[in-house]
Amino acid sequence: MKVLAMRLLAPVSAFALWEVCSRTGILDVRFFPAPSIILQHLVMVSPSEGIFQDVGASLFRIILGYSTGCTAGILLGMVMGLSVRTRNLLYPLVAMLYPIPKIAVLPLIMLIFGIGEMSKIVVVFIGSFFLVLINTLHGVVSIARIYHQVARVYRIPRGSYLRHVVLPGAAPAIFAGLKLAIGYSLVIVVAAEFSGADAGIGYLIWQSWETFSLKSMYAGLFVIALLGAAFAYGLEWLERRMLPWHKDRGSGEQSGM
Amino acid sequence: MTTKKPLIAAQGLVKTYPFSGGEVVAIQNLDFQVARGEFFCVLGPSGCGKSTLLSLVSGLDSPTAGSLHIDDHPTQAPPVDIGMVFQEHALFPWMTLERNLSFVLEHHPRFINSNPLELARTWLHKVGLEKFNQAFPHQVSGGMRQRAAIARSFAVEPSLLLMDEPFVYLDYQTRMQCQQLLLDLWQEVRCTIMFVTHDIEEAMLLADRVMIMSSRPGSRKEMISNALSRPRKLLDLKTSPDFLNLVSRGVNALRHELQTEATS
Repeated sequence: MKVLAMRLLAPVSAFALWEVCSRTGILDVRFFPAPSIILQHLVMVSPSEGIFQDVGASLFRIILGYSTGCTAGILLGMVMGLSVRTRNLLYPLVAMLYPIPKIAVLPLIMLIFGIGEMSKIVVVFIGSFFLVLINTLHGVVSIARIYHQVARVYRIPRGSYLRHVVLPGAAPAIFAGLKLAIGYSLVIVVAAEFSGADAGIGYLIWQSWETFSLKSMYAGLFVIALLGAAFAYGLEWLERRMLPWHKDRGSGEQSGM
Repeated sequence: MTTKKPLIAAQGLVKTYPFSGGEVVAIQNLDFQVARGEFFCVLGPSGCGKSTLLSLVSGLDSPTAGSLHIDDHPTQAPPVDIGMVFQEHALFPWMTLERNLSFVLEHHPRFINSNPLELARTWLHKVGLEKFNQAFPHQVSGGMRQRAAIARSFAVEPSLLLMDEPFVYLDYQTRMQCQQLLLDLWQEVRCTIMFVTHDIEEAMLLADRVMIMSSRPGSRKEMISNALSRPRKLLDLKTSPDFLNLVSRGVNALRHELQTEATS
């Protein structure tokens, strides 16, 4: 209970401050409507404006791009982590492509995949892919030598070695990548929906801005914030379930999310 | 046992490593043999190349010159099963204790028809860890982890067991308990053990024969046969004149190394 109170303290205080400032006129309510008004709008009006379709469209793009991007990132990260040759061959390319802002390549992606669904899924894919690839690679490389030696001494077959030694050994780093990538996917998909989309949270925000329906715009922002928190905590939960051996070691206990 | 061919035979063994342009000699011209069923200790100060020697015997590394054979085969493809116990942290942290054992068992051709989990539990019981089957390594003490590691190495019923200072990070009492446990387990199965340590007492308590090595480069200094009767009970041994006599022989053999170690 105490932990929950701790976690709610900052967001609740921020909202309260905002609410007070709007109500007392410190903030101009035309630009900064009170959060209670926005929530009311979100519940009462937004559904009729099609917010469910927008969230659905964004989620669809995220889920497809994220899941395929993460899978590809984990697989290539494992290969590059285990094989020095592949690493030498591909790492320079990865190091060059990774820092390019993925939104900057959106026009190029749209040129290749058209302005429809595919281009948005592909940018999310690319964004997730690089983050997970780099984290997986790092995780595999930093597995202690002794675990490889134990596997060799007991002649663990290749497949089993990959599944039961390399994958769990790199799993904490992989999860770090997965958590970064889900937040990043949200960022990318919203930005991608600003142009050339007919549905999505980004589309909703941009449309609302253009028609100056600021409450709808804020509703979109609220939804993004909620989705972001839900994804982050969902992955934390999944990590605790899948890596029970990792949770109460070192920093895991303090962060205790 | 001595009439049969030795299990391990090393002749003119050399191992060098590249080091800042030149090379450092870890092992120089080493000859020794280990008989089947023998408890063989390699004793030497740090830097005598004893861990290197173990990685050569285990096939994890290969010699620069000379020959090293296990049962007449090169160490890279040993015909016998090898078990190994490392200094620490060799249990997979993501597996429970029983899973750590059953994992190596289920991939072992000899246990293809047995139940790995049942065997794992039997061995954990033997080392007094039956209440911790489901515990993860980080949830138990260092001594318990090493007992589990020993159980894992014995569980595969190896013909040759290699141990690299397995008790070095344990406190005095826990170390004694582990040493006694090792002696008791070995008394039962009588596999060949090659045990590396820098602890003179430990070597004399455990071994049938102790090879003393000098440091930098590592080479053979003396071979001491240890005829203390078996089965051994540590508490009785530690105060017996025969044992103390062996320890002083070890100290004398390493007099030079111990002195230089203290001043350097």
